[in-house]
Amino acid sequence: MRTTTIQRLAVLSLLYPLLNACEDDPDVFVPPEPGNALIYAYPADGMVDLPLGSKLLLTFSSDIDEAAAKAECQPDGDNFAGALCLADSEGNLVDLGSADVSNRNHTLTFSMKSLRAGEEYRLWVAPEIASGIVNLDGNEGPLITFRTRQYNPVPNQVPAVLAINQENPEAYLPEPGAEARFPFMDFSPVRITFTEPLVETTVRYGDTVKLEHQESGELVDVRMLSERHYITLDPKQDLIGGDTYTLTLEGLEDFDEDRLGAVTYELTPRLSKDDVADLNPPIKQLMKAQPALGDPGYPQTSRLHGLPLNQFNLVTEALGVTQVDAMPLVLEGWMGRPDVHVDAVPVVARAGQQLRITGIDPIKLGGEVRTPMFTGDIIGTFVTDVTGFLTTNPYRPKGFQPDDDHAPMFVYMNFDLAMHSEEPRGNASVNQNLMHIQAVGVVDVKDGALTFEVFRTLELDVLSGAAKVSADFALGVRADVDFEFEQINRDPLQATGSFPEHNQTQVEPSNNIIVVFNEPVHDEGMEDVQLFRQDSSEPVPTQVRSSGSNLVITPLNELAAGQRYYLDLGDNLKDQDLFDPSHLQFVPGDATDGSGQIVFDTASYAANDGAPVLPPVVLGAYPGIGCALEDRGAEREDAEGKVLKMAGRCVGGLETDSLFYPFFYDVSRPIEVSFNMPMELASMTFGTIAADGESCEGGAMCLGEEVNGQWQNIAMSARRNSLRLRAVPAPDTIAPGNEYRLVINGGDNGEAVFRSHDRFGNLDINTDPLNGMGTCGPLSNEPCEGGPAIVIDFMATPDEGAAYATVLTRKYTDINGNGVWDDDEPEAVNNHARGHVKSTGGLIGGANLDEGDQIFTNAALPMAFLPKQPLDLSHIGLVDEGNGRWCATQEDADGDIFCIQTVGDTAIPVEINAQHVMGTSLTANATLAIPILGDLIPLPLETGALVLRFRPYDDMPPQPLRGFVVNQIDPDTGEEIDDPVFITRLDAWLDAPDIRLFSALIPGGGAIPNVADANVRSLPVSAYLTGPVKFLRNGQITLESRNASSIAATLNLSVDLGALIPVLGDLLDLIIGGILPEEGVGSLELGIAKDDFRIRVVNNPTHARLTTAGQENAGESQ
Amino acid sequence: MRKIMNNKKRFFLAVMLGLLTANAASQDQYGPDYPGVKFTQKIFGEDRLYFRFGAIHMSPDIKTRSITLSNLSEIAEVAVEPGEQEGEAFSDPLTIPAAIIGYKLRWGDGGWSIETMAALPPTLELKAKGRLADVPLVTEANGIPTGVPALGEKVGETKVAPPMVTLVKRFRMDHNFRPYVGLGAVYLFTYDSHVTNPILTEVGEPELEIEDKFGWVGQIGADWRLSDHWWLAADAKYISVKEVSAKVERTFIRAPGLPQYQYAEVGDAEFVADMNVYAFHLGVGFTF
Repeated sequence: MRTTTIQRLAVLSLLYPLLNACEDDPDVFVPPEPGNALIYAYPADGMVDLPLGSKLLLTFSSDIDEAAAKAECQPDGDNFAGALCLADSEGNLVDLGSADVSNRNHTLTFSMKSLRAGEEYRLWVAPEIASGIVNLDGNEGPLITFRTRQYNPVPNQVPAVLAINQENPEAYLPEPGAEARFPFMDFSPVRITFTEPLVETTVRYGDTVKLEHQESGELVDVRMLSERHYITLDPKQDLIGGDTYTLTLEGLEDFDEDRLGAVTYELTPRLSKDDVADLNPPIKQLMKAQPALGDPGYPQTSRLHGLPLNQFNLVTEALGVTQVDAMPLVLEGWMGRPDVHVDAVPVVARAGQQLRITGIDPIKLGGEVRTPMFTGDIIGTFVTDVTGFLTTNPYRPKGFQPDDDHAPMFVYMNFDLAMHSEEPRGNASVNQNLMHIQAVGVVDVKDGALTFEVFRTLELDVLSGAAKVSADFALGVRADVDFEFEQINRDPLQATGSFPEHNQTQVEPSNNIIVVFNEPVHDEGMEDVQLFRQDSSEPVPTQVRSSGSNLVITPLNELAAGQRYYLDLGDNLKDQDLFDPSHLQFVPGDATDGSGQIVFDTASYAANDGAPVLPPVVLGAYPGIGCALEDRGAEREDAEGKVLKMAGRCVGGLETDSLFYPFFYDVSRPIEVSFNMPMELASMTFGTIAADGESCEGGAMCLGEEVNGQWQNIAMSARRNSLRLRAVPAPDTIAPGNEYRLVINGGDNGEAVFRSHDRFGNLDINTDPLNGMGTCGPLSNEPCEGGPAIVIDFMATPDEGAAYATVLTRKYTDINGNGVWDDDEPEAVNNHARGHVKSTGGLIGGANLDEGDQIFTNAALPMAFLPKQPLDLSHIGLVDEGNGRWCATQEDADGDIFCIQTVGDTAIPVEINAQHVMGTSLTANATLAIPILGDLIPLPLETGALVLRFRPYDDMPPQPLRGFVVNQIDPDTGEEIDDPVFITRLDAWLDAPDIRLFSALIPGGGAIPNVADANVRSLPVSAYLTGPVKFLRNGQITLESRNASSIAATLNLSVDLGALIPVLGDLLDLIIGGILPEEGVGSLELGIAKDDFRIRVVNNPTHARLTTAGQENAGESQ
Repeated sequence: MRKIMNNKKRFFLAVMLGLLTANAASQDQYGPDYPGVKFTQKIFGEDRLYFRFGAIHMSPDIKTRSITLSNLSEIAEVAVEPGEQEGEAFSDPLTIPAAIIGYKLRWGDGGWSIETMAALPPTLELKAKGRLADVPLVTEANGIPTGVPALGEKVGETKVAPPMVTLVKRFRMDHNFRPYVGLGAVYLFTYDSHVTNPILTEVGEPELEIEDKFGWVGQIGADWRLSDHWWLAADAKYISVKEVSAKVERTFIRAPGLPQYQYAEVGDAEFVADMNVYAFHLGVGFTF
């Protein structure tokens, strides 16, 4: 038995190796662990033109160590050592203490708001920032380099090409100096981003901008979009893959007339298609925002930043926070073969397709004060082909296996988006182009489909550019070939508004023409948009370009004055729908009133015979006021006992005039100087502040800062039109909290000054209009040119998100600025004061106003809608009586108490900068009352040009001037008024520097020099102004105000009777012996009833022309 | 889990082989005078154990019930819907040396016996045909050509050791030609299963797990006496194992159309088939 057992075991032991040999373990593939990593970053390396509202996002697959992320960085050669370091191009570290960690501790978010515009930043990220990070070792330099947007012109700098398709332009030089990150594809538009804005009329395709086929030399047929610092050339047919094209730029100018040096780039596109003749790359993709509004599970959470996907907040102080939702529209895209384009798979979606989000309905100012304006759905139309690339994760080594959680694939999308909205007034307010947008996202595979999650902070202008909205778009898109793709054109193209309006008169001849459509216009048909002078069949040379849903038509030469023009929109305009473009329909009530033409008359500027010729004045200035100042720096205490250095008072006023509140300057705003008549652009020059800081050398205006007792000049860059100079200090020269000085030469010492347009005599500016405007010199009717320099000391303040604009009285009467309502000038009843004589006194026995008893006003008021605040109208002297009712404490001139019934508990404060308003002359027919003899001698009184200066509230401690926008109950109906209402108390001084008395006894009724003096100096008036804030279809915002309380002012006259009536005076003296004094005194009380003082101001359209002196008549040089 | 299964199989096979080779040390006086005969008789008794050594030709007839993709990875789901797929599996016939080993029972006239089949475990090649073989399973992923070719015929292979036991009734026991019939059970035992498809193994070899399962065996044959002790036997069997499941897991493939992915995890594929085998055996042997 024992032997048997041993034998069995022996046999088994022999078999065992055989068994093992039979069973092989399979060589199963075990994927390598990708490890925790930085999986996403925005911005991507190399991005440029990032708006300052952007967010910097870093998303990790593991928890962020917030303390490490915010720890101090140390210099390490050219780099910085630390978990997270951000430095500018000069190595100055950015404080990242405000960074947020969110998204389950996986995302770090930092707002770029504190960064500088136009600056290059570098970001270092080290593995210590999050646990177990494996992909940040071995970085020798910064992980990401990006550049912020340069919004404004940069003085003393030649414009340069910053990027071509977001790539370093040197990559496309004939001798490349850099390497592009992505190939240039046959379907790619050429998107050229510049270092600063260009003057539009210098951007001319085929001339200053050319894209040519290198071999044949043929100019490529493109659609060109150009605005600000962007040019996009979108070839109408795809380029030929493999061929070389040359891009030539020559003669482009910035607003300082610095000219870009001629440069040629060579672009050799890669073929994305299977065959050159194919229309599209081979792989079709249908993409839809998903989940979107109405889908189950909506909204999902973005894995990139932890916030909702496809649901965004539009954030701005001006409109508050508005949540909008993406709508599920399907886009058609085409993809090149991934096996051919291994490193970057090209993708294109053709122009004309749309994204759609819910709108702002209604628009609420500050998010609280309701307006009757709705946007309807906000639509983004891709106006050029959307191009993009799919790549593996850029933060992993090349060839690293994509992993949804640890190394997701990336997508880069480049596009130009025209934003517009369904509702006409909303559309006019928000429509614009968002140019050269690059969005970066991740692609993963979910539920059987590719899903894209793309992030981009977009910055939109709203309220016609008065405010900016930042929106962090996290767009979730699902690609599925089975999506239903509608090829429906929902809306016919219509022209909804224009500037100037159809049949408008007195149009500034140097302006451009803006036509607002309900959606973007296709470039085909734009060539048929022509401007004609009515008496000519030859079209006026113009540049026609589109922006958003606007067409901007810029005459290359200033239009002729006093002529009728018509803009013919042609028959071929159509919208951009990719599949079924609809042609422009003309319907009654549209911008052409159904005619297809916009007719307007340019201002003639004609003056009546004998009307004075006045020098120009600065009508509005920001910061500051348009008059030379004295008593600058005098100290006063405000309500809190704080000592203020007051801004001074206008030269020529009374010593008793209250001093203007100190001037402040929001660093986000341009310096603006507006004029009361068209100016010579060539005179709008900048000089250097003099050593004493009291004048400018070599130019009419300058900006300076006193450093260690020395005035240092600050360079500025300018954009000009004939009525306005907009100046922007050089980047990084103005710091909040610091004091600066703006000087406008007066010319008293022969300095360069602003001068009026040739048609007004090219007169020097008058900086002290209170000392007279047209009554200077021995003959008393010479224009009063010159004056002391306007010296504005101001303090810079940080950007608080105010919506700002310089608003102009429009329509207005005194087009030529001569202080007279000329026969050729319109009666602008919304910008006038209709007076009446309330009473007379002293030697004035009786008086009445001439038939033209109206003072027409002309103003340019820099205003700003400030962040909302609790409703409190005590700032303008109203007392809260409860239940929203606010009342004045004093009776008006008619003995009434002004009250307003408000709705809600929020108001939008409106910054009103002290300015002077010009008024036309008023003639009073007074009679000189001779004792005993009664009203004997007619004494016509002509005020001459009037000056109305905003006055500080003398019944209150020094405080800034404010108005408020509120919702109000209509006192007549008891219903809430649809439009928000603007209310302020306007205290002002009225001056008539050129007041003249005429003698009916002198042949011809001429003016009598040196015989009379009127005290129409600093004549105080006060009234509450109130009226609706309205939004027009052409995008302009209006404040239509009237005086809600009556006004009265008394003019005191002193008359040298002897001089007035040299013969009769002696006779009378003889007759009534000693009763009549040599010098007589009388008074005349003028009143303005309720609603008779009206002011209607409007902002400039976003696309209103701003140019350079050299480009004012650019057509002449062609 | 898989490791445990493999060890179980090894153990089972070892025991079977051990039994077959047990008591190889002693011999009796009955039967042919060959070495080991007596020894065998000593263990099993005289005129009990017999064998017919020869060759067996097996012709599998695999009836595919379903091919189901499940647990697909996210990326696989882009290209192919989970659930049942079209296709069929088959395996080529094969012929191998084999022996029928029987044990006569002491019932009735001695015509009853139990038999089994002994052979070196054959390697069964698993193949595909039809759509499964000829049409790429994942032509496109979201419209993007994957570049993954059709799988082709070759799928995998496995070693099969299907122990079977049949109860056999022989007739005409007093004649030299003795037909018989039998019925029994089989246990489909596979091991060393491998995916051999070049597409499925380009990145790495997936796991192939074939379910071990009982089936039934029908048998018919005849013995023809050649001499006193030697018999020639012809035997036909129908072996049927229903709903055998074979699962392919941890499959990674390379998609040439998507070179951005070094590999793509696929998911699980489960084949369910009725494994029917026609086995024809011709052998000679004697009874111990």
